[in-house]
Amino acid sequence: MALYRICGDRCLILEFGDEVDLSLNFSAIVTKETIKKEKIKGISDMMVGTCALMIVYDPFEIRIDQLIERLKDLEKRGIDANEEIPSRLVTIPVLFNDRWTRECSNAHQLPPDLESIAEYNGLSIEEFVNVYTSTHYWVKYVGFSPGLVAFNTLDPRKELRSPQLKSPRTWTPPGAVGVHRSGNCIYAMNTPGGVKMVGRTPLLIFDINQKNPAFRQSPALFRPGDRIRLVPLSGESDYLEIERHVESYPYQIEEETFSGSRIKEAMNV
Amino acid sequence: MFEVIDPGILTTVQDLGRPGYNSVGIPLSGAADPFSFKVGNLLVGNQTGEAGLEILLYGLQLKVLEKMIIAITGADLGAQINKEKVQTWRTLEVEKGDVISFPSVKSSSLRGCRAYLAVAGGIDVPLILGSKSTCLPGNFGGFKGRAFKKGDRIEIGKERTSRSILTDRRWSELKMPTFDHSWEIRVTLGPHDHLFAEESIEMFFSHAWRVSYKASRFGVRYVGPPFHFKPRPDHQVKRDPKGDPSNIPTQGVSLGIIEIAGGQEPIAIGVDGPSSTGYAMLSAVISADVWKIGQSKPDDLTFFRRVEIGEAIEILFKSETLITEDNILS
Repeated sequence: MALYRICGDRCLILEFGDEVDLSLNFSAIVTKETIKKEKIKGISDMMVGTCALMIVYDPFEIRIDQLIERLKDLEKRGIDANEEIPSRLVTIPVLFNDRWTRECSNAHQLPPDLESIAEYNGLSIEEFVNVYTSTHYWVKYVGFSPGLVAFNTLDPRKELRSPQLKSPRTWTPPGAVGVHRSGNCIYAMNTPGGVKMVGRTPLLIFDINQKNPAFRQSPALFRPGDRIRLVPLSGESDYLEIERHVESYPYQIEEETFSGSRIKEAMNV
Repeated sequence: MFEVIDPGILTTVQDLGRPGYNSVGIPLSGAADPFSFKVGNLLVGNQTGEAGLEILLYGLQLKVLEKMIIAITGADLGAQINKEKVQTWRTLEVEKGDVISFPSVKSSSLRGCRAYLAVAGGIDVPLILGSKSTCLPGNFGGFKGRAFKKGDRIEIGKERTSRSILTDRRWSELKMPTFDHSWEIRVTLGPHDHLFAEESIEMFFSHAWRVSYKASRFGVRYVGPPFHFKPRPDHQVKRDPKGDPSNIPTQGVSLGIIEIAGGQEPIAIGVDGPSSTGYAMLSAVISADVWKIGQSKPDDLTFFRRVEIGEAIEILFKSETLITEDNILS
């Protein structure tokens, strides 16, 4: 059962735990999907976090005690944390050790991040890229800034870590791929950031114009519960070629499903 | 139509925001002081959520290119028409060639920092995801997804009400919000108060917090004493011995929530703020007082006063009923 935490007069947080654990994240995602199907009047938004679900509601449409009662009732009827949910496998090409993220670090008087992260994990750059691209990742949440996607490996043996930057950058190239403690992210926009960068994808992961069919349903490419496969690009010319035609790029998205029990299995290898 | 002679510090097109997209990282946006914004629209005969301008502090100069009815609400930034100070919170008729300006003043002398310019017919910009507001972190919405620049020409929508009805309408002074150098902001406790030491919670409600220089539409930071936390539970220590007690696994966050960044600085999340945070959230500003964060400027003082959720809702319902024709004098 989740903990209910009231948060001001428009928000309710359902907390499934207090640790980075993908099966808790799965619970948050399944709960969101279950609530969505219930079509509760007055809920205007739901934001999946690492191990929590934030529900934004309109107090003019539903009272907080009514909302909690509805949700507890739903929980009692059973939300299956092992359920099979839609989970798309999205392939993202990445140029590692790219010119732009290096220039960004340099502009902030910082050493290149990739060298330091590889060293932190006791690997050469080549070894780092090999390990980093040999696993599938689980999308924990989308947010912070428009379209930013946060993900963790589904194979704990392949987990690479990085300390945070001591003082955040004032800007970040859009598409930069970063490692943050045990998590990872792709920046959708040029925003400030405290996450060290290892490479950059030429793909858009947020497009407000929704031109490419990959954005038909949402201006954000990802949703929680998707999986990511990172594929290394061999050089800058490949990167630039994709970037040139990005609006018509055929995104490789495989419609699949995934279950909570598979997450538990994967994490207990 | 308006022509921008000087864009000022930050002038953007706003409405009441773009709710429902927290889950993809898109902030609410919209007017940082929604009360003043709605009254402005009401005065000029618009629906309360029609697009208008949000003006920060000083510097904006707009040339009027056609006859129109406007109203300036929000903080008194000393608005002028053709270099003469004009009354705010009332309708004004402006003619082709007039210049609306917000003169350079010492910002420490101002009470509040944001004014709103409503125009009969509204600002004509495209709807994006159901809103005309500018999303600064996403570079979309409003006028070309950005703040005004010199030379921009801003289109006005079609008026809904005849001009003769709109002249000489003013907002009742009795129903005017109070703008000051210090703010009493009502908040509810939680969601993460259980992580904080008792004395730090008491300190939060008794200290006079100073608004830091990092105050913007993204959020308002406050300067004061550091916070202390309860010891971390064993299972967390076991997993991450060096973990920071002020950190939480990333969670959703929304307008008005007060997170304690690094265990040091309270940040009240603003209209353009992030949709998630890794810092413990101590408290949340009640919806009826969110406008006060929008009007807070560096060096203002803030006292946080605790209310319970039931009272917060009562205050919210009451404040919404204020925005009605009954409070307009003509």
